[in-house]
Amino acid sequence: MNWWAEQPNTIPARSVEEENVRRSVILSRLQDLLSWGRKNSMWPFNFGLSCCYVEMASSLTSKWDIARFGAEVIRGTPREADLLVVAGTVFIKMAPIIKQLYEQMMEPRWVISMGSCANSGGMFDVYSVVQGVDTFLPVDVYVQGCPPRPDSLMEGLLLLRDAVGSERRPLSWVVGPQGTWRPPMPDLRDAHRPARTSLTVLRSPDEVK
Amino acid sequence: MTHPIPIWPLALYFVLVVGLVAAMLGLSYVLGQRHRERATARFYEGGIESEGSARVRLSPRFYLVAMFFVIFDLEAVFLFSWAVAARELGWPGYCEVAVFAGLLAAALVYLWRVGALDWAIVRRHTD
Amino acid sequence: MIAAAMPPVLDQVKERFPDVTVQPVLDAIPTVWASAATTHELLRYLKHDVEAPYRFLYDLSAIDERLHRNRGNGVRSDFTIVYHLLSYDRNEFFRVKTPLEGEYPTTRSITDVWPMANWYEREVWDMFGIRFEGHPHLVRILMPRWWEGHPLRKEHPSRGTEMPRFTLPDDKMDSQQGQLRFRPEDWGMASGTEDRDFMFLNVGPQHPGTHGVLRIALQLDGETIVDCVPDIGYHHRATEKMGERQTWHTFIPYTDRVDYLGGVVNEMAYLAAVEKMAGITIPPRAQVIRVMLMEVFRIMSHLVWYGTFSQDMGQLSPVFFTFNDREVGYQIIEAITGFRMHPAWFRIGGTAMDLPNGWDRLVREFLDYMPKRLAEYDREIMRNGIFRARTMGIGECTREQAIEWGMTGPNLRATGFAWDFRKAQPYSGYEQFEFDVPISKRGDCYGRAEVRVEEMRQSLRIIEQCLKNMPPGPYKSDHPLATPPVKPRTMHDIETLITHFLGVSWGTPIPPCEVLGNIEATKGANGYYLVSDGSTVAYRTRIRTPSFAHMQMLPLLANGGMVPDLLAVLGAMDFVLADVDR
Repeated sequence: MNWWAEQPNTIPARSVEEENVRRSVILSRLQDLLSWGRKNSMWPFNFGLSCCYVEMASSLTSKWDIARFGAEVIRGTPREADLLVVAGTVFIKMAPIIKQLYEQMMEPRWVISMGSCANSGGMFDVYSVVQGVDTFLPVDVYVQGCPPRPDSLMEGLLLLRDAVGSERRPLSWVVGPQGTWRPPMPDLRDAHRPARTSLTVLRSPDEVK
Repeated sequence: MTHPIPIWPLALYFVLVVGLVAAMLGLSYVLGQRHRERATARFYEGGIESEGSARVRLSPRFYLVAMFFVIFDLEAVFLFSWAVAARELGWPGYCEVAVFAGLLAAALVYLWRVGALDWAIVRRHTD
Repeated sequence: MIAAAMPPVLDQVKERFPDVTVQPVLDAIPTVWASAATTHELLRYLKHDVEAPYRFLYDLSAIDERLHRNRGNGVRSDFTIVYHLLSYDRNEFFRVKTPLEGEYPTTRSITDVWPMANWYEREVWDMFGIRFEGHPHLVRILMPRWWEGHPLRKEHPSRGTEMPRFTLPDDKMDSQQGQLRFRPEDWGMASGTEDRDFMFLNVGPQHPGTHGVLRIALQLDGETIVDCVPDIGYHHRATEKMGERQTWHTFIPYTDRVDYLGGVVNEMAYLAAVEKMAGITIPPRAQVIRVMLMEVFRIMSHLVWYGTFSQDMGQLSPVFFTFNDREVGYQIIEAITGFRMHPAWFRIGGTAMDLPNGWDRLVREFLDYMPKRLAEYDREIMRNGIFRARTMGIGECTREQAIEWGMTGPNLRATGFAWDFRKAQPYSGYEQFEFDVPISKRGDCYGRAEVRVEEMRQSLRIIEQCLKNMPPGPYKSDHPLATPPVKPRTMHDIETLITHFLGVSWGTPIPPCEVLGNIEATKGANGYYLVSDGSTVAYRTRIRTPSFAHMQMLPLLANGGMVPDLLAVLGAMDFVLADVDR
């Protein structure tokens, strides 16, 4: 659904190679360095709406440990946070607040929509729930599940990291080319399809692993 | 006659400090992206609009604590200045400063007993 | 409880109020219909004057009866207000129903009898449009201020997709934020005294200490809280309206998400009512499996509480340890139910499937692992000087205040009152288990912590007994209303196949009746009051949650303290926002 308020890709779609050729070598190396730095220290915002937040908190703890990816520093204020994980149902009463928090985040910022309720309203097709956070926020990664397991959230985070690592953002708002370029995001359903269709023998639920 | 202490290292240090601070501030000003949306410059208060100002007339308790701090801090200043000249002042000086400290200790005990140092208001259960 | 020696209350009530009519109901709770003029007096009588009085207002809700067929009583009513009372001395509920007529009726408020009715009446106004005369401040509580319409009325759209598409343009955002702004004069709060001003601070809706989307508007004198107003409704997911749209069977996953840390405990609360309605007896094996899983989830919920409470008090490590312990518990849950947080595993009549082979090994590992962890947390948390200083003497309440305001669960037991519905009104075979009910005489935040810690140990005891004494047998009842029916039977003959087909595709028809099913959930007393009109879908699903009543008590517990004490009170209260707002 393309209903977000701002368009991240203000530069027409190009592949990574074309993009590299366009920029000078030094500039692109510098931007690579900055993207590498951003990718390895994405600080999430301490924002949990609902049940998915418990699984997000589980992903921060020792067994799943997203600290390995530099994402364990949860910030309490949006000014210091890079990543807004919309963890849980987006309620109509909460929508202006989420929008306000998103607007108060500093660039660069990304949004992961975690869970079915944030993706599309989920099983709550009711009067008080917004049917998907992307009706008013631009979303970078959708993580499915109700709630997604912590490793699903980590997979989403890794996808976002890969995308962030290839991003091109302006070095300065004063001089230089403006506008953010992002590589096209893969669709994991198609990527996983060959492996999944080859699974013909499934484990029985009557035995414990 | 002792050598005069050269002043140019201090001046150079000063210039370097000013230059470093200017570079840090200046670079962080120009680098990076900016965005200005409607809520970006508003106060952050859990995502909601705040009510009232934080510049209100606070309870006098805060003023009291500040005053006590200043008074006892000044006492420490006087004690330091006595301590610098303690040997020269000898026993009479010691007795005088002991009286001074004793008076202030009595004042402290009075404040403690009268409850001026209690920060939390003891709660009563109203129902 | 010497309930047998008490005079039957219905006789006393009919003697004193001759115009009330008694309605025979399936769940054996004395139920009377009282007119709007009589209800207030009747409730006051039940609270004060009757012997072994009904001091606890368990629930106050309403039903939109305009489309209700097969009511089973001759009472004309467009809207019915339903009051549920509980007498601790009698160990008995009492139900008063007030019929109201008209499209937007008005009735008298009972906030002068029970102050805790304040939020419940606000919710009825919000959801149904019924006004309460004499209510101190009748404004919306769950829906936003700018909402038009009353959602639980039958003409209000249920689906988000039936309403106009949601957009958030700038003007709408400004107007909504403006409506959310706290206005102290609405709540009777002064903006200052003659020598100082008060500062109004919002804690939340986004705040790490509120454990979810809760907003508390504080009136601060320096750092001391003069008054506070909890503002809820940011987590309203319309579960009760959803109950009017889902079949009895397909509603089970929605119950999971009411207390999202409780998992199957919520399902039990719902099924306690449904199975009573259907008249199903649960086989012993299913009962013991249910008890075992419920106690595992009780421990899991308390572990979240434990870690986050100590984190609120400043200890950064224990939350990692308790969440690691939860992973050990999740091994059991995932192996048995297939999922971690919201298993949706109980079924009407039993459970979804039998236990897998090897479940006892996992449970044994959990039972061997947990006691050492609890001992370590005793050292780390409960005996920690800063934790004790921040929780002892904070947020105190007496037993009378707790009963007056509807506190249940570990919070009530922390005031010294040993009431546990698992012992008082046993369900799912709890009467066969040996366990103690921990209490604390302190009544403050530390006392609540003590009770929950000891509850975890008692839960381990129960799980041990489940492990040792798991009976053989079927995991689901053979009753025709058990959903979905046991598969092998459907392959045998055409009758069971037809029943199975209809039950799965159309739904299970539950005979017309109304039932309250109440259990001791992880947070307190969780009850489902279900009204059936004979169809496959509930007519009214009322969910009485413990955290709603607890949140209303927040000003009582936190006023006069400082802002850090508010965090201690919130942490010790152990609420879940989905439990508050549903």
